[in-house]
Amino acid sequence: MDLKNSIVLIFFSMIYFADSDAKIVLPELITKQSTNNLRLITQNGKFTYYQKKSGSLYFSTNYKVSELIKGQADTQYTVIAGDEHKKIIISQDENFHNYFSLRNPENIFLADYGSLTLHKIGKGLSPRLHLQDTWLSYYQPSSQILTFENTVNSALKFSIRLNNKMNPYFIPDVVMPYENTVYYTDLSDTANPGIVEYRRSTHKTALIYQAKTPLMKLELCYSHSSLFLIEMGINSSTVGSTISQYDLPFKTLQDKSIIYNSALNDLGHLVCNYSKDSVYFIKNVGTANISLYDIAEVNLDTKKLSILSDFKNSTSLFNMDGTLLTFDNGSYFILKGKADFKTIDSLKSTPSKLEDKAKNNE
Amino acid sequence: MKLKTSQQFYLKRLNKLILFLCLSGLSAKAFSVDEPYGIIESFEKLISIHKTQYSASEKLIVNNIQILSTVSNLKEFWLEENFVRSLLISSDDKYLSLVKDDECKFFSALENNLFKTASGSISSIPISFKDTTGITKKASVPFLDFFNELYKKKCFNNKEFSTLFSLTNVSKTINGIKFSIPKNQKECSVIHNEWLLNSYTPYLCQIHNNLINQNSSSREFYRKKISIFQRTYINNLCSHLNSAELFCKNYLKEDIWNKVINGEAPSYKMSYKCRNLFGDKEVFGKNEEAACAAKFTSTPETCEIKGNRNFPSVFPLQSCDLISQALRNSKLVTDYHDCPGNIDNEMLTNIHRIINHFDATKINSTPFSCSGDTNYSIAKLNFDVKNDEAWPLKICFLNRIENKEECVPYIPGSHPKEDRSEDLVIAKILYLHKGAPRKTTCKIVDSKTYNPIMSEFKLGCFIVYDSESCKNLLCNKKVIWDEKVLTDITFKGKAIYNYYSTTYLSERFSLVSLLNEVKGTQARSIKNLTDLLYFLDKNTGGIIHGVGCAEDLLPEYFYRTSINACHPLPFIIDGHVEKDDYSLLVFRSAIDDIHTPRLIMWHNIFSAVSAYQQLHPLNTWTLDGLKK
Repeated sequence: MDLKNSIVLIFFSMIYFADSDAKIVLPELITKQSTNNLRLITQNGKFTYYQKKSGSLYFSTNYKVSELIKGQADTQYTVIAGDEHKKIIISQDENFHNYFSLRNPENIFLADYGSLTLHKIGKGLSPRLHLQDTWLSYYQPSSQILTFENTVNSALKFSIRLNNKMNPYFIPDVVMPYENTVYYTDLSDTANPGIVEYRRSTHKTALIYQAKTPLMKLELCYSHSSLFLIEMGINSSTVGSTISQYDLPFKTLQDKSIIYNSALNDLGHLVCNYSKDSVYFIKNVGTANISLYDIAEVNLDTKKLSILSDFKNSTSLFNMDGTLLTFDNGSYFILKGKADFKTIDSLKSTPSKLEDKAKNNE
Repeated sequence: MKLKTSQQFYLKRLNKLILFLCLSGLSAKAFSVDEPYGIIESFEKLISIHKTQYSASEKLIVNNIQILSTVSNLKEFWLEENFVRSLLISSDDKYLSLVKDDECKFFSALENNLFKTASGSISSIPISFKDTTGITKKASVPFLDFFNELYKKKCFNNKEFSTLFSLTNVSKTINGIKFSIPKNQKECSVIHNEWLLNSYTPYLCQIHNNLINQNSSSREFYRKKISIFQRTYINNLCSHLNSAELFCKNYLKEDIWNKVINGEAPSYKMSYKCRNLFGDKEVFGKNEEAACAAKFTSTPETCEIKGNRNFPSVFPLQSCDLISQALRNSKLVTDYHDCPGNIDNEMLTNIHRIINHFDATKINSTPFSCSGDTNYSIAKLNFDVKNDEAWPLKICFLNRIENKEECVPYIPGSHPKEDRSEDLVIAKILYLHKGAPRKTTCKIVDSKTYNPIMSEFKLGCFIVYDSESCKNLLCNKKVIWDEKVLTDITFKGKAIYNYYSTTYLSERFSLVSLLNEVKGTQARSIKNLTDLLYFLDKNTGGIIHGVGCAEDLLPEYFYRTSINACHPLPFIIDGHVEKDDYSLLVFRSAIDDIHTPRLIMWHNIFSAVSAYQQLHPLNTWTLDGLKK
């Protein structure tokens, strides 16, 4: 069967508002091959990464399927594309079903976008690409070290050791807006979350913000020259939630614009790299007694808040290379997508430059 | 004095005065006064006068000791007036309110030493009596003699009650009494009133007095014979006989902390958290428990940051109020404190918890032994099905006799009663193959502690592991004997298991199957919320366990950053709470502190299990009810 036919079929359903208590119906992500094997579909639908029970990760284009990595049976992969479509990061967990560990480091590989050549970077968790995909970071929980490696010149490396002593399952949020500057979250000796600035030039860290209580969490997101910080109370905290926007470079953390405020504790999962006009997050749409969660969008100009889902218990929000997805009851749903998915399966699209590059790499 | 100026103080005094005037047949002459007083001042004065008078009358009577059974021609006898007057003035209000106008209850209270006079406790009974001459005489009668004679003439049941509450029968009698726990204020007032009318109450309060008296010779006897729940109930009753409100206050508090103190809930639901809060004091009594309950109730945020010190888990914890709600509806037996943060493989923690629930095991947990305890549970599970060969962890060494490498199974950590314990296995290898003395023992230490410069590490055997990087999946260790590293002794194998089987061939050795085989548990797949609630409600000891993606179970901590990203996390559900039309499930993930359950929505469970099912090689639905 032609691979193009097996790549993806995504059906959009209409989002409609019947009345004031509108029920939002989101289109489900449906693929010709089993969705559970899927690990990434690129924005234009031209590259698909999927895995098989045998333990291998496959890469498919319109023209060919190739095995990217071979692992032992039932190996689990996650694949993330960089914002600039230059790099792809792949995590490999060979003990996915026989060693349940939230801290066990996974093998991290780096590949050029659309390339079949992988480079093993190291072992860790939460890999991320920064600065037009020129830097990659990952975290090693056992040593509490945050490692940065240049994706062009692997000799350029540095690492930061975290302070956290209170939460063995803490994973820092990291952004790298400049070659010289990293912002990351850490926990104080009393577990109050804070934001730390690291300067590569001096190898020095400075605490630039610390929450007043350990019952809070902070998330950082950087995109389009803006740093976004979402502060949320957790558990029974009455702190509520705030999203602040900072235009970088800032002099102090006070130079901010508050774009959203709520008395309830939201879930966060802030996405700021989908659009330069909006940020997206999981909002608490319940009450002080019962938390219910849905996906929300805040327009950065008007600060208008829109609710995008009606699940009441959304747990996930992520940007799959230009498609904003959420997960509910065992299915993935499309919140926003730039690509014209209707033509993905038509085999009519012209190979792009990137596809040409992929072909050349083969 | 503050007490004297309080309204309550004056009211009590006023009540006593009224009682005093009504019941003692007080003559105006006896308490005639020369100048007018206000009510309170005159009462104070009256007490002073009474003390003087009672002392004088007691002196006269106490010297005339009579044995009633030997008094010839005894016609009638009654309590001496000054004595009665003194009882009414000097005894505790709560006991006076107990007897009211019930004469027999009055005598049983007197018999049980609930009253006192101006001189203090009562050792003999002053009486007035008449013999056939018709002349009224006064005498002091020995305690037992008085009641023996009295119960021949009236209150015959009291004698039987005394027998029922004798040291020989007390345990049986108390076990036959129904100590009703009220559910609401109205019911509580009725229960309190029933206790006031109950003929047993004076006897129960006598036991209470013995229990609270440190010097009482029968204190220990009662502590042994009467359960903590019964003791606590009796204490609450006898302390608040004159106040239904105070009696009810303790029972109508909805929190788990007071239920533990009242003996209505097992002590482990609070004690581990409390001990941790109080710095793991060895002596941990009722006072500490009460202090702890007060702290948890008054400052619920305490539990969010305290309670898991040295037993690491995901942080911060939950508020005391939420924990209380969850624990009130929780049935998992948790008489130990494990340390998920020291166990890298979350499935081990979950299975350890399930085993200890069905075995109802109490473990003396310490920060040093807690991870070993968990490993040991899993190892035992494997060895109990004779799965030694499949056990992955082996210590290998060069057998010089046969000149080949030999490997033997071991269980990580030190377990004195277990031959396969890591330290004992190494010691045996040293003895059999390295010429070490028979009594050689090995100590397990981390690399930070091991310091060859110190004399204690100069001689002997040490198993040194890297404290920074040593985890279950990969743990670098070396064996050092008399300062020499034994490089030919190596630790092999990864502690990997299937929680649910991933192939049909290996099904028998998944942890879930081992659990059913060894512990005799029965599993039933749970597919929806109705089924889950039904299972929990219908099976007394039944619990739910499963595996789901952490990204859906605890989305406040773990984010899904790509499609099908998942970190499998095992969990246990052991109860439910109904709140605002939602069923909240009492939930402990394998990274949660065992004494800090959460309340979680079914939707999270369903999403988490669905997400993991999609990735499971056999497409297994990983949510089961477990019962024995």
